[in-house]
Amino acid sequence: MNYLTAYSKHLILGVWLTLCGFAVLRAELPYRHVQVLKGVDDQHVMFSVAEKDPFGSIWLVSGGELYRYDGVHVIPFSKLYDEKLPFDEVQTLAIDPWGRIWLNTRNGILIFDLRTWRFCFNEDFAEILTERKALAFAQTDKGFWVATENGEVWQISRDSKTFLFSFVADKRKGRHTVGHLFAVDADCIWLAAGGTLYAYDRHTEACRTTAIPVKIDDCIEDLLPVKGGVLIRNYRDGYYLYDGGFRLTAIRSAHDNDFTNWNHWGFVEDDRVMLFNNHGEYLELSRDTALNVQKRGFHRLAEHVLYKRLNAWRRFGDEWLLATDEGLYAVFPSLFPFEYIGYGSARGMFRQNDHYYFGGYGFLHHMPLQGSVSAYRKAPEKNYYAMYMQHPDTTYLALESGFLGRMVDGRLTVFQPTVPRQDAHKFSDLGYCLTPYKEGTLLVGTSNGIWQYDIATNRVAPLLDDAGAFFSDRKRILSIRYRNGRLTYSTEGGYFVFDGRRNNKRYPQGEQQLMIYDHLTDGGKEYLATKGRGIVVLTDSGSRSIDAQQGLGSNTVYQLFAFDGTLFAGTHRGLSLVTGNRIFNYRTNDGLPFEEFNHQAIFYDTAAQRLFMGGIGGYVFFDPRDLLNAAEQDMTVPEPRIAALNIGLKENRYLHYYAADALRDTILLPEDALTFNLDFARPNDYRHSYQVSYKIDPLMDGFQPMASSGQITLVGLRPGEYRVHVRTWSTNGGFEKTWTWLLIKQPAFFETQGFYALVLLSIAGLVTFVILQRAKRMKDEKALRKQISRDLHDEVGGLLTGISMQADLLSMDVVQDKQSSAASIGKYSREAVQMMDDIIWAIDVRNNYQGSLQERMEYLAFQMLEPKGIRVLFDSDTKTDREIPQIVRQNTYLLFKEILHNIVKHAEPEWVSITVRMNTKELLMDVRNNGVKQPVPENTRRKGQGTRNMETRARQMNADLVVTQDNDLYTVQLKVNLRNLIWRI
Amino acid sequence: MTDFIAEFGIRQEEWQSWGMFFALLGLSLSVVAIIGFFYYTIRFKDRRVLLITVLAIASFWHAFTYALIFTGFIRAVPEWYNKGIGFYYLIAPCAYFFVLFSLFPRLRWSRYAWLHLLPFIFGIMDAIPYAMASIEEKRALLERVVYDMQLGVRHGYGYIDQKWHYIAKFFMAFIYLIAQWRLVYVHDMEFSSISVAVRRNVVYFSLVYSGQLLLQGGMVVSLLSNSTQSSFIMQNMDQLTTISFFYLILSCWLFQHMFRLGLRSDEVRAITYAKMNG
Repeated sequence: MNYLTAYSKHLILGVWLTLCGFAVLRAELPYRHVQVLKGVDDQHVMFSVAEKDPFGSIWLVSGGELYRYDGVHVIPFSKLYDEKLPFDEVQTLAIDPWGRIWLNTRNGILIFDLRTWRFCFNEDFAEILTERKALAFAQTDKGFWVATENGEVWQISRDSKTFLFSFVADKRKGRHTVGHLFAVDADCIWLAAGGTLYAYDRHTEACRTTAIPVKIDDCIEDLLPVKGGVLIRNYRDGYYLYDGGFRLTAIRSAHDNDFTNWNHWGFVEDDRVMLFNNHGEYLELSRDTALNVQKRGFHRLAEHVLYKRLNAWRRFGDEWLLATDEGLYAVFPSLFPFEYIGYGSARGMFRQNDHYYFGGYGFLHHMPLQGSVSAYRKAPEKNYYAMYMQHPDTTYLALESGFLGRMVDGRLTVFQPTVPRQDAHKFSDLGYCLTPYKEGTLLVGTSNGIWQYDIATNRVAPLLDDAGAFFSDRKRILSIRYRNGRLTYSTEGGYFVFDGRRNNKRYPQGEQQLMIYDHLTDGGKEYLATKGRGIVVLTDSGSRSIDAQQGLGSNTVYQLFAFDGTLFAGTHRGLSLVTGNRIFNYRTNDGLPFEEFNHQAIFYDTAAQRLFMGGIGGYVFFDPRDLLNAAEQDMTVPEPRIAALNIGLKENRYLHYYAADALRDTILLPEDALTFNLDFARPNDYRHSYQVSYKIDPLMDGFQPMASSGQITLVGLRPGEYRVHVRTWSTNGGFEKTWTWLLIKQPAFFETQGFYALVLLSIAGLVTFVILQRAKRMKDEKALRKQISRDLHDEVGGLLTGISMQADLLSMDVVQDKQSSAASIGKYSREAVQMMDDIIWAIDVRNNYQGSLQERMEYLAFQMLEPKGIRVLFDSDTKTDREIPQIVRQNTYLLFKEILHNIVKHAEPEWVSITVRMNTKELLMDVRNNGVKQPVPENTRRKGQGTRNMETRARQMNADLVVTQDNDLYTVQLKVNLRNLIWRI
Repeated sequence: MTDFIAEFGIRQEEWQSWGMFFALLGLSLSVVAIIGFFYYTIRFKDRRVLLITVLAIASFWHAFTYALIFTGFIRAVPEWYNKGIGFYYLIAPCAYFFVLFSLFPRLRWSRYAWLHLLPFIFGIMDAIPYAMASIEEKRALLERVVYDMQLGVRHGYGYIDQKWHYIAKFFMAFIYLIAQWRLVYVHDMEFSSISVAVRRNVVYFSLVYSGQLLLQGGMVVSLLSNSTQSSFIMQNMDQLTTISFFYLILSCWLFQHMFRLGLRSDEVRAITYAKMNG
């Protein structure tokens, strides 16, 4: 030990350098594969070619038919295209960078524009070419080229095409290659046709031709452009390099025929040539004529994928789509290059000197710092469950059956501890965890409680509390830690704390049971790995859970490790990192070789700074800092795309939109739209584990998960603006992004503001009409009165005046005895004129103005009474400027006139006193005279016609008429309540 | 100015629209008219001028604050928001009494005319909670209101649900408008002392005011019948353009009325003199 300590610096440095070398040698290529589609349906699994479009969908050719796969559904193109298809059979396809599908059909090239959803025939880039058949297509991220069967190579741009060179075409004797005999890189366009290799320099625009030797041309399969030449795959001999001349390269694998049969894929990317071989071999070469080996390692592509017959491959971004006879596959880089030690189901592990030892069932496995894992047969087959490294060369092992062992410098000793007789019946040798305890002792968690093992005496005894009770009796101990005099342990029933005297259940409270696999303390918090509640965090203030709902891989967590405030949790579904408020998850698609981790299978090598996490397949290991850094890099989550918009219209009509241009940020819905259905594509869903949720403003308050069908359906839309927010976030890290589409539903006429205004106008018109009917009656009455008074005045008045004048003339000219009669006619005529004048005045509404009544009454009084020698006392007082209602004025005047008539006719007063007072509330008229000759007894009084008329008029006005006689004073009082009258204007 | 626009301005693409042009022109004409009305109110002490002045100010403030909210500038002056609730209730009574006293100049105020001020008072009271809120609360509210205008009728700064202001205001205005047209109907030039020109001016005013009110009413009905889209309706430029246009016409009428007052100042003075001397 002293020796090791003295040279620890050198040792650590040596181990580090060794591990670096080891890591390079053991590094497995971080490429994964996934089956995108089993087939277009269960019975049709062969794909001729597949390619992604810029909008996230994959276009497939299977059985000569064209299909679209949007990540959810595989739909025949014939269903997506409304009109008759202009082709019978599609042989191959390619998609240019501008979103146009180039279909090579039996009868020539067809170009379908995904933006406009129509075929292109007359555009500049399409003319002529649609009359040709394509020999091959070549494409880069920004360019597209077509080689036609009549021997022309064209460069295609967005709006036009350019002829580059011609060649002698043949059909490769009827053989279709899997690889590409028409390839383009930044410098050159390569074409192998008719036994000739054409090299078109893209800079000088010069085309160089070279005859391909027959032995190469016979089995030519693929062209992989490299700097300074091209790598030619020959399925019989292997790879030839052309760099001015042809030579067979030394590229070989450890297994025969790897480069000459189908069990091999080769690609070029950036500055490297990548070769995926059988038996998991991976070879990476420099992409130049030197072809230096840059990396030789292993890939994790399943062998069965390699054996499937490959029909075509296409590259899109950083992945390859492989169309095979048994489905469609994608190959893509993993998110993180996990190192993998595959040996079987893993338990605890430790490092001793220059070896790692891996526990599990059966033999221990060990792995030198350089080399591969193998069974360690120097130790017996046991169930090696958990380990405690006491020193770099001494480790204690908890054995599931066997209790405890110790390994020193690779030599294992299994203890046979002495158990006190009184405790023997409780002792269990199924050890699951262990921890150093007080001086010279270990605590071992077993299937029946915690046992204290004395290293010096080899004695074991149950751990007792201060009352002498075996407090962990009948508990299966799953994890145990002792620190600062405080023992913490977890069981199938919960998490406990033993302070040396008393045992307390910490979580969950009460009798509730919860299986807790592991626990640790970090940053003042206790973390529990539970079965069912994810990670439970205990603080002084209480507890909280970090579970699957918040993004954890699973609610079952087997193992925990804390590093720089980040929790590394091995769960039932992958590896989860919990850092701050973010959770990152890694699953098989992200590079993990397995997803289910194991209890107690976790180990951190402090010297090498490597975290080992074990599961059902073995161990993965990595530098936790590297994984954390990789996780925190922003990941690109695929952009959700609308694959189709289906609108249901009135009268069972439907509209379907597939064109990319029609499905952009703003979508206008027609006014008669009743339903609409948005089909969202799930680009790269097979590759990225990402979640999609959506929200529609203003119909929804929050996001909700999108159905697996990718459909959003809305029925009964009101006109307005709807924002469809689609949020995607990676389950690996929680990076999220939200996209928004704006849907504008046009209003029908009856939903417009103008229509509502018209409705209001109609209602207002109707109400106004009803109200004005009342006003109209009043107005008509006014007009009628005006008309009557005018007619009376003009017609009857004039006639009566004429009669009166004629009578006056007659009284002067005719004989004496008839003069009195003529005078009478004249008198009556003048009286009639006077009476009519009064009536005209009374009914004419133009006399309703304030003061008119009083003036008229005063005039009448003096006219009637003064000629009789009666003194008139007239008093008028008006305290309002309101007009007098017509009915009041008319009746009051006529009633007043009747009173005066009665006075003239029946009384001989010396004076008549008339008082008229008017305010806003009432009108008071008081007429008094002193012409009473004798009082009339009450019972003999008889009402004359004039009195009844007066009462009738008073009643019409809703007025009070009071007639009193006091000695010689005769009084008539009229009181009109003006408030009782309905609104006058 | 650029910084100010950058800080507070939103929907800048709509600033070039016809709706905004109509609104700004209408507001400008209204400002001139209001200044003129103020002058003539003081000079003539005529109740009709006073009424039309109140109407013009309330209408102006309504349109002005709406424009501030629409453009986002209300965030620069959060104290201005929600201040006009009471005054909006005065528009319809003012229009009614303006027509009444224009057609029937001899009429006096009814003893109970003050009842027409009750909604105004209730409106003023309902503005108190917002006025009492802290500036931070106001800013926070307006930050949301400018983007989601339906919050203007859904916020909790009031004793009643704010949408009832819109409903009550419009309903009352509807009743006043009917009464206003009744006045026009029952007025008979043969019994009236006003000139034909005055009557024609009043009829034009009633037409313009009715058009504006009906469009506003149409908007209120739209909001009530399609409440989920209220935010969209309140900022829909198609609808706002129409309303802005009618506001512009109303402003034009106010503007010309102000000029008429100037041209007929002698007549007005004579009427005032006659009224003062019984």
